[in-house]
Order: sequence, then structure tokens, then C-alpha cells
Amino acid sequence: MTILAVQQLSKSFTFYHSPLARLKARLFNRPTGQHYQALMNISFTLAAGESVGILGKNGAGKSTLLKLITGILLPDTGSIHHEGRITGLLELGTGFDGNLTGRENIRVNGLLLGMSEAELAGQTAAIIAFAELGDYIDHPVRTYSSGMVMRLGFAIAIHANPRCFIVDEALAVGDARFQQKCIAHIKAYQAQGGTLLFVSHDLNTVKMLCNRALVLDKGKLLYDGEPQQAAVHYYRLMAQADGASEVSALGAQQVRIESVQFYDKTEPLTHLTPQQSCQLCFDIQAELTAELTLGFMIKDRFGQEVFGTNSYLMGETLSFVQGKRYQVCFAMTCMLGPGEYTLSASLHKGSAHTEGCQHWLDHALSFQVLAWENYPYVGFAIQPIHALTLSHRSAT
Amino acid sequence: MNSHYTLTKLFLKQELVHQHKGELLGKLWLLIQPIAYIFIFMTIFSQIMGMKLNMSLATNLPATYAYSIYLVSGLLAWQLFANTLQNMTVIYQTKSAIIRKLPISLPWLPLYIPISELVTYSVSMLLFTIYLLFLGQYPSWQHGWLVPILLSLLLFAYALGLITATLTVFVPDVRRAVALLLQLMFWGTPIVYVANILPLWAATLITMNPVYWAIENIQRIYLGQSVELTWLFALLVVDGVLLTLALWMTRRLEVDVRDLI
Repeated sequence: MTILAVQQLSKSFTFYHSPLARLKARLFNRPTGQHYQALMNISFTLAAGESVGILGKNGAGKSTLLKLITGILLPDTGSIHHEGRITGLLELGTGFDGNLTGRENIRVNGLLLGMSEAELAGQTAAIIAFAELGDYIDHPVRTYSSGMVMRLGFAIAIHANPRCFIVDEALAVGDARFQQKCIAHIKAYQAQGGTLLFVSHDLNTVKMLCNRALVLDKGKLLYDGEPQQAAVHYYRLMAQADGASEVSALGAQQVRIESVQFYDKTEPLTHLTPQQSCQLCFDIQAELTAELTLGFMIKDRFGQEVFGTNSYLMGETLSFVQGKRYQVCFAMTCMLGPGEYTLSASLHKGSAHTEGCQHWLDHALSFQVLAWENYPYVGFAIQPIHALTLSHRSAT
Repeated sequence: MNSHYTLTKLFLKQELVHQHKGELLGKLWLLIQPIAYIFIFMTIFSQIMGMKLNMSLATNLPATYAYSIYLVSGLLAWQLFANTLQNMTVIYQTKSAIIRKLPISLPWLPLYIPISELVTYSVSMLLFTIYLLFLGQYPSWQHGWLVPILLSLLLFAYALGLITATLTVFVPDVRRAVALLLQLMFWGTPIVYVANILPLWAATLITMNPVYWAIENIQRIYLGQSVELTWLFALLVVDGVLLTLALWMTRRLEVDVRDLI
């Protein structure tokens, strides 16, 4: 069942040199101002129970898209159809009145979000419990800290029980523990068949919560599909490689990563085992004399970043001379849990791959970590345990 | 989104009840203000100005307070009109937090303003009526005309307010222009003075003012004179035209209003 259908959606903003010029232009249909196309021909559908992330650089049109979907802004052309209530963290704390108590604001905010009196009566206790405000719930909201206001806003929004829930980079609510609680609540909402539209710059959260992702760039829908690929597109945007033909590699490539391989001393490895000593080696061809940083990122099959580092962070400088070949090796012990992993590599200036990128290779290597039968752990990392003791404590 | 009805009720409650939250006297202020108002105009003004102006009023009311009744009935109706227009002009700024976050219908949003002003007006009128009862003045069936007259006045304020509200989003100066216009209109409407003290040209000019049509009729009711029905119907026609224009304009400019807020 389709919850949301967006078709051929376009939205532009027009800037005029004076407010009167805008009024005249709009009243008498004579567009004279400067046009800014915020969204162009966006089409996608959202099925019930789907969770879709929206990725894109600042100014890509993410917020405009959400505002159009919720009906706060009106499109130039195109259509939006939705089934049932769409609410979200977009409306966090909408209409909070500082002079009213938290409890009274739950009523106001809930009504604004579209909750009925019956729903409010049923949910108020749960909202109060979730917001963890204690006795403050009966104090005026103006006495709250900003974190408390956000917590109350989130608690109401998530209990409004919409068909589609829109989260707009608002998960930075409260401390880490409260954030985990929010994420757990969103997951429970998903498990009950709720539909989620999630905007964030935090790729890990997108990958964790979403089974599909859209990538927006300059108002256009660049990619619509699985989050892993979407993240690749997003990284590519971040590295500002507009014309690169190949998705998985970009950069100036005057210094290139030719191959990546794990070695056991001298023999190439087909797979790793937990706690195995190995070397991760990069063959590099230099067509330029430069001091560069070599880095890698290991991701699990969900695209979660498991481990990454680079030579810069390790305090090393790698000097390459034009026309020479090099091999750079990281000697390491595999502390990954069993599973499938991919490895991305990059060669760049400074501390991060977004500046002076020479070569950025996504999916440079896929590898498995295999566990043998008596592997004594669970989880995706190994925490070395040195001893297990049992000692007697006298009762106090 | 809840129904428009629920939201209007909510805004109304915010305007009338929540506003007084934390105040010692709270909702009592809804009474205190009109009591003071009526007291000042009925006692003090009747002593100072009443005697001079009573001659101009063709009424059977006792001379000591005929003018005061004329003045208060007119002033209260004027306030109803002026407050509605003034609050509606800045409605999109007042409720910008809501417009930015919720897909609320623009013509519905300010509907609570005339209703809230009508509540305030009714409280004042109730006190005024009680005061008149003490003076031995009892309402007649004529007072029934108040309902259509007040509604036509409110509709005029609402339609005009929708237009000025939209214009304010584009040209912020409009709110100041409206405040100025209200000042001019107040003195251009015979509320404090009586129409027949004006020279002919001025008396003709003020009959062009739709607010005058309503307020003059209300004052006539309180002075025991007959209602001018032509004025009531004329105002309803103006309301119809103005409301059509206002709704057309709101729809036409809605995209920009939402972009700009």
C-alpha cells in the first residue's frame, strides 16, 4: 500500500529587488524576479512500512522537499498524495507556550499535530513518562532547559502515532542515553509497520534505520535505492567530484592506488580469522611528487563504519616521488567479528579525504572474517579479555 | 492536522484563557477593563461633554446620560472593528511559528480573531446592559437588530483583515498604514461627536464609510431610534464583494505567503 506518492515535483523560489515588485509580479502574473530552482522533477513513492533516508549536501533541497510533503510549502508543479497523518520532528515543540505547563502544552501541541481528544487522553501519561521531566511537567515550559523542551517535543511527536513519521535531523535530542531511547522508539514504530522518512547527515543512523535512501543534489533526485549505494553517492558528492564517470573511484589520480590486498607475511589472504596477524597492503603508482595521507575504512555489510584510520592520524607522513611505485602496508591484528566486510581506501592531503583528494576508492576490497567452531565470542568486534576471576566479598 | 474547528477552538482558548495564565487576577481582567471603561465614559464624560452635545441628539433619553449612551455604544462597536482589523493584519507574523510547521489553511487561521473580539465585546455589552438597567433603561425588540449589524461589521473587518494580512507579508509597512488609517477612520466616524454638527460636505463624506453604516445603526438602537436598513444591506453587499476579493487574493498569493513567512 502506498503511503506517499510524489510525482514530478518542482519548486522554485523567486527573489525580487523590492517587496512591491513581488506583489505586482504575483498578482498580475508577470514573473520578473530572479529564479532559484530548489527542486526539479522529483518523483518517488513510499510504501507502508518502508523507511527511507534522504541524503544530500546543505542546500540540496532536503528541507524544501519535507516542507512540500507536509504541506507547509506549495509546489510549482507536480503532485503529492498521502494516506493518513504525516507528522514529524519537523514540528518539534510547535506552538509551545512558555507560560503554560508541560502538561498543558502536551494538549496544545498534540491538538496541533492532529491528535484527537481521545488519543490525547490515552497518551498523555505515556508522553509524560517518555519525556522524563519529573515534577517539571507541571511547571511553565519557559523554566525548562532547551534539552527538556526538545524531549517534551519529541515525546509528543512520537506518540502522535502518524502513518508516516518525518524526522529532520532532530535526533540530537538530549544526552546519548535519551537518543538511544528515541532510536529504540523509532525502531518499535517501524516494527509495528510505521513508515519513516528520515533526513540526516549521520550516515550511520540512516543506514541503521532505513532500508532505502534518496540522494538529492542541487534539487534533483540523484539516486533512489539501497542505503549502501546511496552512501557511496553521498560520499562522492562530499568529495565534490562532479564529473567522475566511475562511481567507486574519484580524485585527481596522479597518485593512484593500484591494488589492495591482505597478506599473511608474503602470501595473499582469501579471508581473515579473528585475532589473526596480517598486513593490509596498498600498491601505489606515483605520477607526482607529493606528501600524502593514505587511509582506509572498514564497513560491515550494513554499511556501518566499523573501523577506519589513516597515516596522518597515526602521525606518519608518506612521501611519494614522481614515476615510482610503492607498497604501503599496515601491520595489524584482526579484531573483527565474523562477517562480511568491505574496505574503502583514499589517498589525499591532510587529515580527511574531502581535501586534496588524489584517489578515493569505494569497495576497494571485499573480505570475510571466518570464525572456527569454537570461536568463544558474539558480536562484531573482539574485546580482549585477560582474566576471569571469582572472589569472595563480605556482606556490608 | 485536526479539523479547522478544533484548531479555531484551540486558538480561541489561547487568546482568551492562556494569555492570562500566571496573572493574579487572570480571567477577571476580561471584566475589569470594560467596567473601568464604561464607568469612565458613563460618569465623567456625561458630566463634562454631555450637556453640550445632548441638544444635537434627537432622543427621549434623559439629558444627563443620553450622550454617554451614544458614546459608549459607538465606542464598543468601534473597538470590536478596530481590534479585529489590527490583530488580523499581523496574524501571519503572530502565528508564523505555526505556519512554518503546519499545513494550516490561511483563511481559516485568523477566524478566531473576530470570534475572540466578539466575546470581549459581548462581555462589555453585558456590563453596559446591566448599567443601563440600573438607570431604568430596558432593552427593546429593536436590540435584536444588533445581531445582523454586528455580524456584518465583523465580516467587513475579517475580509479587510485578510487583505491587509496578505499585504503585510509582502510590504511590512502595511501594518503601520493600517494603524494610521484606523486613527483617521475613528475621527472620520461620528462616535465621539454627532454627525449633524458637521458641515454638509463632511456629513456626505462620512456616509461613504461602511463602518459608519454599522456604528450609526447601533447608536440609533441605543438612542431608541429606528434602524436604517439600507445601510445594513449596503454593508452586506460590500462584505460580499470584499470577501470574494480577499479569498481570491489569499489563494493567489498563498504560495508566496508560505515562502516568505
